[in-house]
Amino acid sequence: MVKRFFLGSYFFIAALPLVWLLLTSVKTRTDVIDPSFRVLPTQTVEASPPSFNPTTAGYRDLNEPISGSVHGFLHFLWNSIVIGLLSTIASVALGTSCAYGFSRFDIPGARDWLFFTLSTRFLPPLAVVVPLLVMYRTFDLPNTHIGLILLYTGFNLSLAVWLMKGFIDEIPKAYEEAALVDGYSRWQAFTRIILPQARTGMAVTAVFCLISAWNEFGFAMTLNNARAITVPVYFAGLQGDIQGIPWPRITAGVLVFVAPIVVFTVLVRNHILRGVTFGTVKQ
Amino acid sequence: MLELVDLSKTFPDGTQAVRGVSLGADPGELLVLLGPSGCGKTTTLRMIAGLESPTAGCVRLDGQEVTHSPASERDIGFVFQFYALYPHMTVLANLEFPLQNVGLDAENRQAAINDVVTRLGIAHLLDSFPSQLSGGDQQRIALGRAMVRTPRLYLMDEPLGTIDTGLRSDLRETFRTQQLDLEVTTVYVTHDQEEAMQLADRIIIMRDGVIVQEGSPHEVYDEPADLYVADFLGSPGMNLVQGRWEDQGERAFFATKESRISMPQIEIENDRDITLGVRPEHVSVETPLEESAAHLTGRVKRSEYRGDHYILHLDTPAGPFLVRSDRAHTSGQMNVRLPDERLCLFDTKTGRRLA
Repeated sequence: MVKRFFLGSYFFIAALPLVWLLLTSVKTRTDVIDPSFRVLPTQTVEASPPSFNPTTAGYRDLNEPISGSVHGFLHFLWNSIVIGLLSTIASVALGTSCAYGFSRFDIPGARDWLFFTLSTRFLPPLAVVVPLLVMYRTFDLPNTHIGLILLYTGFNLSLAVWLMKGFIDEIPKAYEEAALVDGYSRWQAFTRIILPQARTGMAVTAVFCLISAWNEFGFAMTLNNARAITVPVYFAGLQGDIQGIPWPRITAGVLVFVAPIVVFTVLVRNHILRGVTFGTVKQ
Repeated sequence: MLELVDLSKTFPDGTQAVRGVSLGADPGELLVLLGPSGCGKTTTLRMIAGLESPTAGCVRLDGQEVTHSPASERDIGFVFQFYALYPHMTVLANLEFPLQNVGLDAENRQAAINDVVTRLGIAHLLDSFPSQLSGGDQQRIALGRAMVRTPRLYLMDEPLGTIDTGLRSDLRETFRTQQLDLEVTTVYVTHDQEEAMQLADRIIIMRDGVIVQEGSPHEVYDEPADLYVADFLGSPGMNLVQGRWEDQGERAFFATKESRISMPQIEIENDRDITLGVRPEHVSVETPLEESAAHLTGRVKRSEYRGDHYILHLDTPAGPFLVRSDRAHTSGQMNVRLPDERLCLFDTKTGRRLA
C-alpha cells in the first residue's frame, strides 16, 4: 500500500510536465495564455473554464517557418538527429575500443591515462566555451554539423570509456583467448566474441551519450547561428518572436523531440536494467 | 614434436613465473605438468599456446620456431579450466567456430563436427546454450571444440579442476581414450597427482618455476629426485625421517636422536645429515624380525580406514610414521621392516636424493 502510494506520487510528479506539454500542444494560443485554469478538452462550441476546445493546429503548423526564418521545425529536428546519432555512434565506438585496450593490454601509465580521461569532465563545459569558439573559428568549424559532432563526441568519450571499461573488465579473458587459439586474429576475437557480449554495456552507454548530445544547449547556441542549429536552440530562438511566443507549436515540437529518446530508451530498456544492476550479484 | 628450450617468463611486476624450463614431447605423447598452484605450470602452457610471450628461451613445434608467433597461427587446441565456451553461441556454433576460418566447405565442416559429436556423445546438447549445461557437459563441449579442427597439439589447463569427482574420472577416461585414438600430442596441466598418474606417459613436476623432475609415473613415484617430489606424490606422501649417517666401516647406520637403524652399505660420508624416505605401502609390519634387517619400532596411535586398506599412524622414536596395512591395529607396539631396496636417502640440506 505504502509502496503503491509512493509509486503513484512519483508517477504523478514525473508525468505532470509531460501532461502539461500535451495539453498545451492541443490548445489555441489564446487558451494557453488565458489565466483561467483550462484542463478538460471538450467538443462544446464555446468552452468555458475548466474546459477548452482542443485543436491540432500546433502540430499542423509545426513545420511552418516562423517570422522570416527559412526553415521549419523538421529541418532543425534533422540537424539534431544527425548530430545526436553520429556523435553517439562515434562515442560508443571509440569508447568501446579504448576501454578494450585499457582492459586487456599493459598500457604504460594506464591509470594516469584513465584519470586524465575522467578529468576532462571535471571542468564545467561552459568555462571553455570562449577558447573553443576561437579554436573552432581557426578551423572553420562553427555552423557545421561536424563541429558539434566532434564536440559532443569529445565530451561523451570519457563517460563512454569508463562505462565500457567496467563492462569489458567483467568479460573473462578466456573467451577471446579461446578465439585466438581457435585461429582468429585479435581483431576478429574482438568483433566476434567481445562485442556481442558487450552489447548491454554499449546500449547503456549509447543512451547516456544520446541524451546528453540531444539536450545540449550552451555550445549548440554559441557555436551556431545558421546552419547546424539544433532543436533546443531553435526553440530558444522563438522567444523573441514578433507575434508572441507560439506556445502550442513549441510544446508540440517538444513532444516530437522527446519521442525518439523515449522510444530508444524503451528499445534498450532490458539492457539498461541489466546494466544498472550489473555486477551487484557475484555469479 | 614440441620442444621448449630454456623458456622463462618474468612478469612486469618482477615475478619470475617460469625460470629456464626445457622439455620435449614426442608425437602422440601425453605430458603432464604437475605442481602446486603458482609453480609456473599454467604460465608454461600459456607460452606454448602463444597466449603469453616468453621473456627468454624458445618454443618449437615440429622443428619450427614459434616463440613469438601469434596463438592463431600455431594450430593448437586449448581447453580452459573454466570451459570458456562462447556464451552467446549454441553448442553447435561453438563447435563450428574453429572451423569457420580454415577454408573448409560446409560439408567437411559438418563431417568434422559429426565426428567429435559421436566421439564425445554430445548429440543431445547441440541446440543448448552453454549456460544451460552442467560443468561436466560444458567441459565435454570445450574438449570437442579443441578436437574438431584436429590440431597438432592439445593443451589442457586443469580441465577437470572444477568438475565433480564422479564425473571427473568419467571425463578423464573419455579424454584419454580419444587422445590415444587420435594420437595427438598433449600437454596437460594439473595439480592433482592422481590425475597425473592416471593420464601421463611422462610426468613433469614443477616447483617455483623450474622442473624438479621428469619421468614416467613409475620413475617419479618410486625414485623421487628430491624431498619435495617424495612428499608431493602419493596419498599419503612418503614417510620422511631426519637423521644422521653413521659409517662404521663394516656396518652403516641411520641415526636419529633416539634410534639407530642399520643400513645397507652405501658410499656416504660419515656424519652427514640425511633424510630417510620410504613409502607407507613399501614397509611391512612384521613380528618376529631378523635382528640385522633395517626396522623401526613404534606404537600405533590410530588406524585410518581407507576402504580396501588401512593407514596406521605410528609413534616411533624417529617421529610420526605411516604404514599401509590390510588389517586394523588398534594399539600396542609393532615392528616395521624397512626393505633395503625401497629406501630413499636424501641430503637434508639440499633435498637432493643420494641413493
